[in-house]
Amino acid sequence: MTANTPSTTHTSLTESDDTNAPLLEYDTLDVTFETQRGDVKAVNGVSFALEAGEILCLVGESGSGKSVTAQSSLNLVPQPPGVIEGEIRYRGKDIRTASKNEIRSIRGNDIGIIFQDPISSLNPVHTVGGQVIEALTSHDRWSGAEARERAVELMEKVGIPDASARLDDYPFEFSGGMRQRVMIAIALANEPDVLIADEATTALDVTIEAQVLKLITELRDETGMGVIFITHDFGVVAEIADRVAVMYGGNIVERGEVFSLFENPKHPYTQGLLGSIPGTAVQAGADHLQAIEGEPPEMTDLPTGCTFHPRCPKAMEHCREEMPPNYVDSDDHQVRCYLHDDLPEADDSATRGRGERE
Amino acid sequence: MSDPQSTPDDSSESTPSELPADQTGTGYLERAQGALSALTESRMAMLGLVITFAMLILALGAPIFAPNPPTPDGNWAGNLENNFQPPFWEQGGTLEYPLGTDQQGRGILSRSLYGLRLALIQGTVPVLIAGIIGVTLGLVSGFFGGWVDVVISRVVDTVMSIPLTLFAIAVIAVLGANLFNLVLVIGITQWVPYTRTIRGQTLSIKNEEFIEAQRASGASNSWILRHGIFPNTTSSILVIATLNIAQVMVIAAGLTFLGLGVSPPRADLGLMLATGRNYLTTAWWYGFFPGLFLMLFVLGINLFGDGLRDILDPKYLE
Amino acid sequence: MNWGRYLLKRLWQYFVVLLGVSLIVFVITRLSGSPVSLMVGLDTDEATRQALRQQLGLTEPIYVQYGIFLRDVITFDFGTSFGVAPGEPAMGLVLNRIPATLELTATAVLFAFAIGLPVGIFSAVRQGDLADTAGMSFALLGQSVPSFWIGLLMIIFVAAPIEFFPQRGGGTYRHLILPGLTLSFFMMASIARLTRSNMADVLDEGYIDTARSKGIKERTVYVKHALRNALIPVISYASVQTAYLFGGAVITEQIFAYPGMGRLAIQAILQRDFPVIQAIVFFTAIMVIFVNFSIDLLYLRIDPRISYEEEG
Repeated sequence: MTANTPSTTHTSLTESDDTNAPLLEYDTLDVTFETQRGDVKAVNGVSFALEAGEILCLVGESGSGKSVTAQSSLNLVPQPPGVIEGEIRYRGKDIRTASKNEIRSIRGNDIGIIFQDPISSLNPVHTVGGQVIEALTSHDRWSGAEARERAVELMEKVGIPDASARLDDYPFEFSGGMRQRVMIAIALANEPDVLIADEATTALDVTIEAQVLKLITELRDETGMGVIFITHDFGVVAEIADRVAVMYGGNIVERGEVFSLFENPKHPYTQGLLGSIPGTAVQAGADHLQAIEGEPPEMTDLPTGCTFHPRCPKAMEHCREEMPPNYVDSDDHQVRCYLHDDLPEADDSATRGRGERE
Repeated sequence: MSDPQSTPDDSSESTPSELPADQTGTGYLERAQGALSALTESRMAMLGLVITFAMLILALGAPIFAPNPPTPDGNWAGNLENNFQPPFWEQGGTLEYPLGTDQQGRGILSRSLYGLRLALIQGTVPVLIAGIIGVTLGLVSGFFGGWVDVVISRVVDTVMSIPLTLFAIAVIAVLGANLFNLVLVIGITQWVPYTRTIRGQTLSIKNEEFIEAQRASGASNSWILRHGIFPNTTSSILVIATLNIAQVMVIAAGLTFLGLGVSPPRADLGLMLATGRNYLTTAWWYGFFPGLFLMLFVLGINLFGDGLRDILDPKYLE
Repeated sequence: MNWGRYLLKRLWQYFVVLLGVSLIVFVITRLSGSPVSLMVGLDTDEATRQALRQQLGLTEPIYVQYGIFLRDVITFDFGTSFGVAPGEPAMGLVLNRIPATLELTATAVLFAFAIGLPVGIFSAVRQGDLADTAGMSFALLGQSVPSFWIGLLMIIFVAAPIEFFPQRGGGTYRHLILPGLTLSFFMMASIARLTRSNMADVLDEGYIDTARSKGIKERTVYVKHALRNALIPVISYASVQTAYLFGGAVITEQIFAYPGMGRLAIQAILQRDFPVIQAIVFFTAIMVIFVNFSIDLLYLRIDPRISYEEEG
């Protein structure tokens, strides 16, 4: 994916929720892992919201906390050793305090998730069809025979040829790209409102990735579901995102609409990321690629103040002392960086999507 | 100049020309040092080491520690008047025979210590035999593949289909029951785990780059096997051998228990348990303590071997 | 499908193994040099000995002898016992004892799985917990304790004081309990450890998260997804251990004077009764192969990848 700027925008659907609450909302989420080497603060005060019909890309390096953020929405983070604070609200209801049954009913039903590695995401000793059907029958919405029919439908929908015959095949008989499609079928089986794709195309080759991305956007168009797409690839972001949130060291350091972000990246980290991609760098007028100096922070020993300051070419004295607050401009483009302290501060509650900030 | 690739059974080895030191692929000195420091951190391994060491000292120093040793020519003179004395903490027991006596009045403690010594021999010699056979077969089978591999694999299957005990019975019925035959029989049946593991490792090592480098420098097959592949299997061999010693000690005691090993009046833990079997209800210490000593020795070695495995294997297998 | 090819390959391997076993048995019996002198008294004259040699086929070249031996084996003619029960066909004696030994080993396997599996699973689910440490310590102990010592301890502390448990003999299910337990100890411990480590590994796999993300019950995640995968190597291990189990039965039977094949073997060796020993070794090998093959069949059912994997 070497797209330089996003090709199309997506207009938000006029579908309205019965409540004013966003579809999925993170409110000062803190995830700490207690390990032998010390406490690892994987996610630090993360707040953001996802609306119906929008594709939000969560971008960051490995270790930035993006996967943990995603997994916590389905309560998939093991607790111990994880300690979670803050709220995660699905349609206004806090998932963190929900009962076991409520969580089970949300999983796969209201929120679906696709993981990164298709090879290990499917149980090798059960048939693929069996695993899709399991997703369908676990919420008592389909009976056995209906489930089988629907499984075939789903597999066809995600583009698996000869679906009804392949239902009885085992995962090792599928290629990586095909397995990922099966994962999508499983995630979408119960028509969830939210789809979380955790680096879903990272392990796939470029052509397959293109097909999968197309599939996801089409499904979003059809059903109006919200999508959180986690990736470290800005090309993917350019291709499908409506909004982007950039994570570093457990914080969201910049967020905004995709156009705004690409044309005018405010945080030095984002600038660095975009500057290290051949296409965008040229567009920005640079004549050489700029790698970001230094290494991602050691999670047991985070820097004081702004987590990025040791690597930041524009770091100031103040950056070492305190983590900057969220500044926002008129386009609802937010950044956590003292360089933009001329802008007003965003209020600390979860930020909302375009047009829904009342 | 060294000669080009030679056939499997060349007796003359050819060393590769101009091979830089770091290309021999062994770095196992550094690995050993790393392993040693990791070893001291593992509580399990340290505990095992302590126990094993203690038992080792008891075994080797039996003549010193035993309160009632045999005469220098191995004669266990027992005093029939003292027979079946219970341990010292029970009524009728004395401190002269701390763990009681057997049917001939010989001290259980002393006999057990000497039994430990014998167990040591019975544990280590077969492992030596089995190790040599097993590692060689494993290297050859993995390195050369082909029909050699197939034949060896069939042999492995065959050996694994015959229970060791029955094989030992059959052979010793013919050859006679003594220490030598016992050790021999056990040795020639214990090589399978070595072969399997070493074969697997050889298969994966032989495709690595430094082997190619050695070959390209003109190393013969036997040189590669000895200097390229074998050194990288030593940690696995060490783990298997350590745990094997414990197993073999138990096997030897078991076979002796059945009458296939040394004969009375030698002090052997298996023999003592066999005789003790007859007096379980009347002289429980006879069947209890020899087994306890054996168990402690085996436990120590197992603990140590487990700790060793946790440290060495994952490190090696990346 | 590939099943047929896989099974055929295995059957062929087992046949080769049996051939190898027969060769080993043949070699062993010829090791003694002169079986004749073992059979007759020292003062028997040469003519009688020679006649006996001729009768036993010992005057033929060695490969002919092997051929005769093979023919006998195939017809299950192991000769007549001359020690344990003189005059009786060796095979008959052995067949008589097989059921008892099978019962004993089956009981041992039952105990081993019935206790080993739950301990292993529990430890894996509660990793790092006290339960985990306790379970694994118990398992380590089980692997270090010689089975015959355990047997003796059982007799001292259980059979002697409690009427319910017999100290010797066989025949009723009560006679199976203590010997079965004794024989199962090592395997029980190994199963516990194996299960724990496999479960722990499996629970880290991606498909466990996938399963949870579907919203299925936690119990189903553990049983249908985790256990199903973790058990596969355990069953493989059980297959490999069969030979060991039959061997261990010999010792256990001796301790508890249990009337099985093992006991017969000990009696036979005391009397140098080769036909019986031969028959025992052979039949045991057949039983081991039978069990292995059954597990091969089971494997086809539980692991769909098997028939597609070539032997490395």
